[in-house]
This record gives sequence, C-alpha cells and structure tokens, in this order.
Amino acid sequence: MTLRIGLEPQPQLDAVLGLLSAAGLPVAAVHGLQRQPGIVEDGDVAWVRAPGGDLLSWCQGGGLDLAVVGKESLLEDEPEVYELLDLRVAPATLVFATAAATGEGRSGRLRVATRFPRLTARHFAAGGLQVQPVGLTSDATIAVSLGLADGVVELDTLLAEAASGLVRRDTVAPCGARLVAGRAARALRGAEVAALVVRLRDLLAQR
Amino acid sequence: MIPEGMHDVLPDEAAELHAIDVALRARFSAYGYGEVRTPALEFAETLELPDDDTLSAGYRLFDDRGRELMLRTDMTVPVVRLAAARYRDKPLPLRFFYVGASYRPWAPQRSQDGEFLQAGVELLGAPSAEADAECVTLLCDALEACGLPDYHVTLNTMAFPTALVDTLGLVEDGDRESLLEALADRDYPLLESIAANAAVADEALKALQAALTLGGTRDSLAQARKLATTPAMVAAIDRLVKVRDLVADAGYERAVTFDFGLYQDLSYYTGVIFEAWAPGVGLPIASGGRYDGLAAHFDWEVPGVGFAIAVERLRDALDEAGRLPAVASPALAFAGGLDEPERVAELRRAGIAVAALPGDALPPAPLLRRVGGRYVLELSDGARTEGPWRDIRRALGIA
Repeated sequence: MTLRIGLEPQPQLDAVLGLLSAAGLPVAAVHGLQRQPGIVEDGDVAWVRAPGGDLLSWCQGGGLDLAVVGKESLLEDEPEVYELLDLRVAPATLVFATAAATGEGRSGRLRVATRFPRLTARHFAAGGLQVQPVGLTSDATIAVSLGLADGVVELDTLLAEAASGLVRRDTVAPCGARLVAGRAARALRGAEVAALVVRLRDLLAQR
Repeated sequence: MIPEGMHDVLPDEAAELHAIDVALRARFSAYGYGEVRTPALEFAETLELPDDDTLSAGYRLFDDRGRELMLRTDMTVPVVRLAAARYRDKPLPLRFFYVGASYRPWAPQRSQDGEFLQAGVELLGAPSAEADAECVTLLCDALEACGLPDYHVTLNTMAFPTALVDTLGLVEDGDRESLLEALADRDYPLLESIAANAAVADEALKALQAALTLGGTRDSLAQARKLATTPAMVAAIDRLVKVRDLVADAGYERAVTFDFGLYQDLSYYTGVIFEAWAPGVGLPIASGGRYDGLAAHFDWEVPGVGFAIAVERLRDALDEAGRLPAVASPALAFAGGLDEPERVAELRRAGIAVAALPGDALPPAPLLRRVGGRYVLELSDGARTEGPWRDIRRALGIA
C-alpha cells in the first residue's frame, strides 16, 4: 500500500529530501511538483506538498501517514499526532520582533502580526506583555510596513530574508523540521513507520 | 439551521446505524451484559468528579432552580454513577452495556462532532487480567459481528509511563512531570531532550527510544522488557502480556498489537488501555481501558474496566471496507393505493413495505399503479409486470 507523506514547501526542502532519500525513500518525483498544494506518486510513496497546518490536519484525519513539518506549525495547532523525530535540518527560532521605533516602555496592547496567532496568544499570556495577535497567512512583516501591526512573531530565518529592519525582542520557541505520524498510521502501519524512524535515527547519529 | 457540530441522519444511514446497533447489542448480551440507560443531562459536578479537561468541557445549562447541568460528555462516568447508587450492595462483578449519544463541544480540527453515538460496556468489580481480556475479546467479537474485516486493537498500560519515569533515575520532580507531559503530547524529541538533559543513562534512553519508536511492532515488547527494571514495571508488562495471551486464546491474536506510545486522553484510566483502528478512518473506532479509581469518586471502592465503540466511525470503517449492512429495499410506491386500502393492507400483511399514494402520483420504482382495471408493477431492477391483481400477487411472491 502506498505510503502517503506530506512535505512543507520550506526553503530547506532539499536538505529534508536528501535525508529521506538516504533513508531509502524515492524522492526524485518531488522536484517535479510545480503546484502547491500538489500530489505526486513515486513508487510506493505518494508525496503531498502543502502548508504545514494543512498537512497536520490531514495527518489527524488519516489522509496522510507521515509528514515533515516545522515545529512552529505543531506549536500553533497542537494536533493529535506523534512527533517522532527532530530531523535537525532547517533549524530556526521563532522570535518576537518589533519595529525599532516601538519603545520598550510603551503601555497598552501591542498588535502582533503572525501566522501563529494561537501560539502567540499563549506565549504572551504567560508573560507580562499584553498583545493582540493579528492572524495572517503570509509574510507578517508587510503588516508592520503597512502600519497594521507593531510587531511580528515569525521565524528568524524569514525575518533576516525579508530584511525588514525589525528588532528582535524575545525568543518564543526553537523550531525546525520534525517527522510526524498520524495516529492511524501509527496503529495500522506501525512496522513501516518504525523502520523508517530507525533508519533516520541511524543517519542522524552518523552526522 | 442547526448548531455547529450537530447533524441530521437520513433514512439509509439511520438504517445502517440501526443494523450496527442490533449486532452490537447481540454480542454485548451474549457475554452477559445488561443494558442501562442514563439521562442525557447530569449535574455538572458529577461529570467534573474525575477532574478531566475532556469530560468537563461540555454543553452546560441551568435548571429551573439555578443548578448547573451538563449534557453527558461520555457514558462511563454516568454508568459508574448509576452502579454506585443502585448496585452498591449487590454481588460483584456487574456487567452493563449502553448505546447512546454523548456530547462534547464541536472541535473541527479534531474531527469532534458535538453529538456522537457510543456503544460500550462496563465491567465493574473485577480486578483481574481475565476481566481486561474479556473486554478486549468482546470488542473484537463485536467489531467482527458487524462485519468489519480488517482492524487492529493496540494495547498499552497506563502503568508503563509512571513506572518508566521511576526507572530513569530522574532526581528533579519537574523532570518527571515534563517527561510524562511530553509522553502524553506524543512529543518524542522533547521527551528525549528532557531525558538527555537529566543525564539519564545511555542504555535506558536507547531502550526508551526503541520502546516508543517501535509502537505497533512485537519488538517494542522486547524493548519495553529491557526497560523494566523495577517490580512495578515488570508487573505492568506481565499483565499486558497475560491480557494479550488470553485474547489470543479467544481467537483474536491476529488483531492485537502493543503500542507503548499509546496514551489515553481521559485521566480516569489506571491500568490496561486499548484502542481499535480500521483502515480509512483517521480516528480510533473504539477506545477503552481499566479505571480502578473512578468509582471511588462516588465513595465506592470498586475496580472497573470497559470500552466505548464510536458507532458513527465504525459505520465509516464498514463503508471504507465495502461492508455496510444491507439496508432493506425501498418501499413499494402504490400509486392509487389510497383508493384501495384493502389491497394495501393485503400487501403489508404479506410483509411487503408499501407507501400508499394518490392515483396521479408519479413516484420512482419500485412502483405499483392502477391503469383502468389492470395494474402495472415496475421493480427497481427494471422488471415489469402488467395484468390483473392475481398477476401482481404472483410477481410479488404472495401465496
């Protein structure tokens, strides 16, 4: 039976694919995936590329067996999946950053644009700062440029790329690519999933 | 309009659910379980007794005296409440089954409907491995009685996580809690980093990784045994193996696997826990386990074990497998039947379902209509009979 694996369209996709290929999975067809979301079959594997949140929904619903997603998506959705392995590729840190002019002593609520509104609300609920998360589905720095938000919660790698001029104020969580399995895959295809995890673990140990 | 998370059921699906219901009741009864029905509404404080987030998150309302009520969020707590009130002095063990709806707030991200049908059993006052095995066996028997060809029951014990942290030599209390939390969240990278930071022995960490990684495989048992360095853990794993062996003896070895990463979300479970899974359904079609502390909330020191089948998910699994129960063929639509009540009655007495209609109705097949002094019968398979009433009788197989 086809193993269905989800991939996020992340910048370090090649590193992820290199690891999966070394673990014996047929990854060649993935490069031919132009559309997103998209699906392509290669031998016994069906590759699905889509945003992390969607992949996690499908893992929970039993539509996908495995997925490689960023930790930030797992923190945002808190899905009921098995988080099996830190693949140690694409390490990044989720940070809180504000425009340089936003003073530390500013009172009242800060508007924080982010793709991770629930995670943001949770993070700041534990601390002293009051924030109003502004949920977006794309680059949050634009919202600051447009004056819609005072700051962002975003991966530091993306902030550097955007050359946004935002100043990092706080670390929210360390992130990186994780291999996850749906509960159904774990119950019904446990041996296949376990074999893959063992191979990946060995590969990671050699690095 | 209906509230989010609620759904209507149409005749075909209702008939399928009814057939499943009948098959499940027959198996529950065959093992000596008696049906109980409890009210949909309980006092909120009753359902809050186990202090469980899932059970406490329900639809709430107030009665006319201002007391807080809640639609039941599962069936186990009400059944144990009933048993504690009505069977306190009766000989043990007690065997009850139920079929009914439970209600939890709609959560689309978890495919959680606001109202869902559960069919299950509770075996109270039997602490043994044999009682655990009876429940797992009955679950397998019931699923197969419904015609489900392919399913897995995964077993674990709640004693594993707690005994596990005892073996890792964790000194800080905070580490124990975070490790258990990571296990419950199924976050294995976090679990491994907590163990590594707490300087857990390399050998133990490797065995822990293996036991959790190899969920669903026989090797996981061997790895779990390696971790079993305390009497509590040896006992927990021996118990699990005994249950598996008893279920195998009953003829269901093929269906049963272990998964040491299996973690039940409901906090009342204390011993063996299990879930049933079927291809094509992303959530467990049944879950259950031992809950020896639950009755104590009702001042009744009685152990218990049971399971609940998610009937709608079982229906989905049967659909996936192409094994939905056959639903009775649609009623014969008798155009003009309203003018001939005696013939309608004759057909119904013969066991033929008939919907009587006015003469000018044009329903789809199966259809019976009167044309002048003759009758035309068109069946769903295209067969057509035209002639006097005796021909119709013959075509329908009425003596």
